[in-house]
Amino acid sequence: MKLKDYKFKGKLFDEWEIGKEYITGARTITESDIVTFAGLSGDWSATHTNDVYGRSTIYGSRIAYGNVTFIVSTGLISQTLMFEGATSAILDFQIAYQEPVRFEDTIYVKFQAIEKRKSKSHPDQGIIKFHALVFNQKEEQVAEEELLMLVANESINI
Amino acid sequence: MGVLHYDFKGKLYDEWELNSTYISCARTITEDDVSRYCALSGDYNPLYTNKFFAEKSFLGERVLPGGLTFIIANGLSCQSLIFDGSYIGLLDQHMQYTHPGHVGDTVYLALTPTAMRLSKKPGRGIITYRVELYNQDDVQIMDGTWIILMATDKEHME
Repeated sequence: MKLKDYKFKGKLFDEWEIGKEYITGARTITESDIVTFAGLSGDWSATHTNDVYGRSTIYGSRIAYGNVTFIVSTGLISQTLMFEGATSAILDFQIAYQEPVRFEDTIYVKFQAIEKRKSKSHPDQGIIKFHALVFNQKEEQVAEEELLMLVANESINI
Repeated sequence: MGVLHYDFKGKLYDEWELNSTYISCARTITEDDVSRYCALSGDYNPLYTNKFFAEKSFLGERVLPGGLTFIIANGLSCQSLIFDGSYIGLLDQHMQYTHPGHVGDTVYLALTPTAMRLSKKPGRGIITYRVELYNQDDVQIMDGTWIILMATDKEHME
């Protein structure tokens, strides 16, 4: 067995069924994630990095970045391996935030394909719209997402 | 002077001018940013972590994670201090990927308020921004809309 023998596990365009819901594993958002995010993004806003300020806001404490919720949700979706080696690109996304995510909240995602169509210009590719909801451990919905992905219809071997 | 006396530099709701564009400083996206993004999000899609796979994929080369360019766009907006202590929360973010990003790209953000209204709750307004990210060749790589809850009065920590 060699490098090229690995079979990617992602679902190809034809294998996605509209309306079938999947659930990801969950992940606890820690303070370390917040500091790591601040360093990587360069977003050091006081709402997330200044505890004195955080306590004075409408949230009453520092909260997680909305973008941490977004990237952790895409990470959780990616870890299902349902996209591994099958997605060709992300084309568009939208995220609406309903509730703040607090440190030590545990979040997970439910997602489903809601629309799909073959690409006209690239017959080996298709476009799938996914709808995703992010929940915390209290089953409160913290974010709603739509992701538009370009998905291959033929598997790639290295 | 103590921790409570910092004077936040962000523009308050009334200080934003409709259809006036603000541009941020620029940032070169490095290989290290990609590794740190994968480490934080948990998303190790082979499109950005496996050169051999990426070369056979639709785009023909390794690309930046879409989430990375997104969070760098957020970071650039904060580093310009225009939201420092004046933004209350993110409500909705919509981004379209108009051109792939690569390691070594130097990106900057253009931000234009396109709609503003006061919230029913006092002290808050809602601003819609058109958000565009460009690379060093002034090619647009992302185009989107952010809806942000903005303070009408200076935040203070006391």
